[in-house]
Amino acid sequence: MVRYLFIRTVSLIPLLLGISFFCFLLLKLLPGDIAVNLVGERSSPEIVEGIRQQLGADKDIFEQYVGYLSMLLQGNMGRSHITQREVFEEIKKKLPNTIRLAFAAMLIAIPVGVGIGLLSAYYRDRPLETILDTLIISCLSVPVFWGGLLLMLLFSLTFQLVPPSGTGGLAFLILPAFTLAIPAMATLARITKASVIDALAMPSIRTATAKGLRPLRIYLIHVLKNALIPIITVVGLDIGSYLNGAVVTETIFGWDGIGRFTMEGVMRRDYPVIIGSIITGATIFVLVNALTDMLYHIIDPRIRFDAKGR
Amino acid sequence: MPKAAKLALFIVTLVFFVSLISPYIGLLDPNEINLDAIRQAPSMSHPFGTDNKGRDLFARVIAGAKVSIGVAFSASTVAASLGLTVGLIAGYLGGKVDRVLMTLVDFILSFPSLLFAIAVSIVLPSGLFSVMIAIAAVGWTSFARLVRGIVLSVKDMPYVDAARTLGCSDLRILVRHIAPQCITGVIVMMGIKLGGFILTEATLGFLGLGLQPPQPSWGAMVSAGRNHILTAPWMALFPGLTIFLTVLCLNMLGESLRKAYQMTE
Repeated sequence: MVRYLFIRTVSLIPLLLGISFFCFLLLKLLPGDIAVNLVGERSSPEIVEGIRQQLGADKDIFEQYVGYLSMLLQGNMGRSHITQREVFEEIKKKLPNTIRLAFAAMLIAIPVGVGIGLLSAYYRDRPLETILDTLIISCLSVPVFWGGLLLMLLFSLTFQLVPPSGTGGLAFLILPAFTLAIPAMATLARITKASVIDALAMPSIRTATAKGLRPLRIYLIHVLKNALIPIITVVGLDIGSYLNGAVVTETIFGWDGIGRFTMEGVMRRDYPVIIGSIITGATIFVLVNALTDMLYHIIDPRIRFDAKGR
Repeated sequence: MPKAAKLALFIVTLVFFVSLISPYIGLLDPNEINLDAIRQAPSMSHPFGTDNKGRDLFARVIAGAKVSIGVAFSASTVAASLGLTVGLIAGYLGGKVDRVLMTLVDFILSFPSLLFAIAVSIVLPSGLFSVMIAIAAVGWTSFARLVRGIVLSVKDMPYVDAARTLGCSDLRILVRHIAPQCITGVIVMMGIKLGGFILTEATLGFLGLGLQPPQPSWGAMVSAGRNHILTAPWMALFPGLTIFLTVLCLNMLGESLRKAYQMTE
């Protein structure tokens, strides 16, 4: 067990190195000098020279990468071309907001998504299934930016229930969280339904039925327990969709997180900001996936045994 | 193919072709600026209203269809061909080649997809071609995985051994005997993926990547409408609704294909 957790942690290193190398390549591929790309043309010659020293800009590409990596490890992602602020400091300031938003969205998406999935599997081949399936596929087809605009138009501009944009307490959080939750909820509902249907076909469920357990009990305890692994996997994997969605959602609702930061970078072609956000997003994604792996290793004895047997 | 899927495919194809011939069928010019008619509400002469430059939104939505659907379709073709090639090579050769290629796939999948597409599109010159490449750069991975799986399951079958015994070269075995087994899967996967590709294209357009004004693109139109959401909500409403309905059609197609071929991603 401990050994597995250790191996899984170590296996993150090449992946994280790969992500940083990819971003380094992007910086190299962009037109212009890499040091200038990292801090912008407006910064003082001393700063550019400092970056050039740190990178070893006249050395070969591999040594430059090592220089870039050590910069990253020191928490230096360059400066925004526009504001001249440290990208790393900005991200550190904005990340908690994004996490808060993603967490709120999960609080909506998980119960609603799992609930819809359970209902849809329970009412299989009945009218309710068709209705719920249509709902799921519609939620998957809504462009997040448009869905957000509609919610804003309806709830803040027409009914004036919540403020249309800004960063702050629950009133500000509710619309962006809901917007972000729409696609995640649909994905979860779909996977819950599929895994519940799989679990229903298991012999243990037939035994439970034969023993005369109440259907609801079978459903909520025996079936759900077996269906849990794929559901948890999707909750973990879906962090990617929260990060994707955050770019658009935060922009629309003026939520001061790294999603909006990325969007501002894209709009102004502010390369350090874009690349800093990409590194941050990919790192979070990889870490959460590893955590998910470890989590179901802990909760499911079958997977644990498989790993030992290997 | 089920009826609903056929209908969905028919609608999207119809919209695409109407968009292609739209300059010749007497619709208003999608790029004609008319400052006397800015932000007019939907009416008989402007079914979707007009935008902040007085351009007819209905004409722009129709004209945007060939961009959005065209980019998504070419992206899926590129992604499918690349994924097919990589999957064939990885599955057939196995060993180190397989490990390297699949590590690449895993690596790309370790990015949130939109961020990877943004990363690709910032190093390319702006334009529709770059958007197409950015979408395909993420999309090919699922095709590669699928094809590799199929290759692994057929490459040890007796008919492949027979071909080899008869002296077929590796290339011939791959192209003539193994690739045809993968085609159905690849086409079904294209159907499943198309809706998502349109969404990505629209999102990149919304973010202002690949924008070539005044050429209309659905995502960019919603983005422009955002600034006039209070005074002219139709500017964002109709282009967004069009994206939603198109993606819904394609997702229904994907869903029924998925069911019919029992495919999981």
